[in-house]
Amino acid sequence: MMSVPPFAGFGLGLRRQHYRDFLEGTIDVDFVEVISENFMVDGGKPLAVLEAVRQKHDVVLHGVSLSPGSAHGLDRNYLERLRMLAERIEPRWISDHLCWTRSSAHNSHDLLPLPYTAEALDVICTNIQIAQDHLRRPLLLENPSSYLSFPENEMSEWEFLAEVVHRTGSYLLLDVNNIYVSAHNHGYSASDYLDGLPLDRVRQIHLAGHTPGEIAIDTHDRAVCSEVWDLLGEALSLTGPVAIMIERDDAIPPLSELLDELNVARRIAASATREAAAA
Amino acid sequence: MTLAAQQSQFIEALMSDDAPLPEHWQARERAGYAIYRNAYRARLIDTLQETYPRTALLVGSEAFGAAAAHHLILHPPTGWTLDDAGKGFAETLDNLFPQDRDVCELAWTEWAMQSAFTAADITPLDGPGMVTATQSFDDRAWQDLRLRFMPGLRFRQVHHDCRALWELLGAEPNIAAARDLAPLAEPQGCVVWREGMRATFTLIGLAEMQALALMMDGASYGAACDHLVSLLGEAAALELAGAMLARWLSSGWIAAVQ
Ligand SMILES: [Fe+2]
Repeated sequence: MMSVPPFAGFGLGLRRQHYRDFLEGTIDVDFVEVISENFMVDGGKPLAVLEAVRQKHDVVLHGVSLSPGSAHGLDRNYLERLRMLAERIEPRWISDHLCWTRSSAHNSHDLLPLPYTAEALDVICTNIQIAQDHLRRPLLLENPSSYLSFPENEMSEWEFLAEVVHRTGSYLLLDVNNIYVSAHNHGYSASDYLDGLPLDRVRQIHLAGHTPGEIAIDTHDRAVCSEVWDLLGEALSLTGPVAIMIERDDAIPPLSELLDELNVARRIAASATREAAAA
Repeated sequence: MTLAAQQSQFIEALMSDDAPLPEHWQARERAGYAIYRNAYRARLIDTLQETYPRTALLVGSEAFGAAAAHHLILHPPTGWTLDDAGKGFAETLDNLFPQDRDVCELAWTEWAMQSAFTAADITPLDGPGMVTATQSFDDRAWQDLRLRFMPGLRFRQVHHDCRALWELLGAEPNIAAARDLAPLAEPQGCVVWREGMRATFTLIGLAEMQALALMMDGASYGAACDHLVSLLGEAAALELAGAMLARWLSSGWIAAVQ
């Protein structure tokens, strides 16, 4: 299996509201992330826009429907569609989530939580290997936000995720906001989470806003909060420079506002790099 | 319980309040589960709202939300693409609002427009292309002519002027006028297709729609013309047969001569 070389840069998601900005302007990002499924279509404007953006920017494909944790196996038609999109767009990498979305009969269209058991570990590793073989490249796996932890759990999420990476040769997409949200919801320490992962496998970091509460919810509808910025600093001091992007999927503001937010990430990354050099 | 059984139970309970949750779950697990259940419903109803914005205005948001929830119970999503969640919603509306045919027809138009928007990129046959393809045709060959149509091209019979409805429920909606719109004097065919990068639609006469239906189903031009003769008589049929072919060609509905 090929490796995924590290790439340090700053990116944003490509959302419909910003198509025109990306097509007409020069946007100060090092890469653009797109939701794979939105472009796994036969033709038309979305694909044409993506191909035009690809002429200007590096692209990474971020999926939500692979469902690697499905005990019922992968959808081969989905995999083939994803492979065709990757062939067309030549993304720097392809990512999806440590989760499942579908049973044999139905699709939830949500990132559902897995019990962290030996059985689930076997299931997800088998599926990821099948996906990686089909796509002929390693995947990046993202830690999801979760609202439910199963009484059946035999290990922590980070132990589970570390084992998946170890067994399948996949890489990590570290969502710092998701670590924050899940740590809050399940009462564990975000630092323990970071310390438990093989951080040399991190290739990308996600940042996003969430809705606070007794159970915090990953809503991607607001600016990144200060606790998550702090956690970004902590993560970067451990990973070194990696690709960083901000996800915004609801209440989408003008692009300039997201570019300003990305500059905050740039400053935090620069100071992490300075501190690493000084140490 | 196996992981497969656990996952089936988890999904069934997202879709129905009556499906049981694991008995050993405490309040903590149940509270977490409720977030997934709410998110499932909210996301899918939002998706239908995005696919059918004009239909939602026409019926009102409360009735639309109830119809969307009903549709999800009847047709929970099965495929990987969220776009498919809206499949068959026009039929659901037809059953819910049997007196209001405009609702179902507008929903059908919105669905067909969304489908056409991402149809495969094929260059339609143009006038010169048609001339080249048919230059050696004798009468017999014209009779046998079969056409391949553009991907994303869809049609149906409508009783309301969907162009007027579309306008009335567009950027500056006039919902009252849309609800009061009188039916067409006689039903017509609504045809949806992709023109360049945008989806569009038009109305055609019923006879022409039937000829189109026959040819999209693989019938020959001769068979379509025979059908027009049976509907309209010889003279009017011949006139329409030529005019419709010219219209299909100039509208970009034809992909190729087979
Ligand atoms: Fe994320």
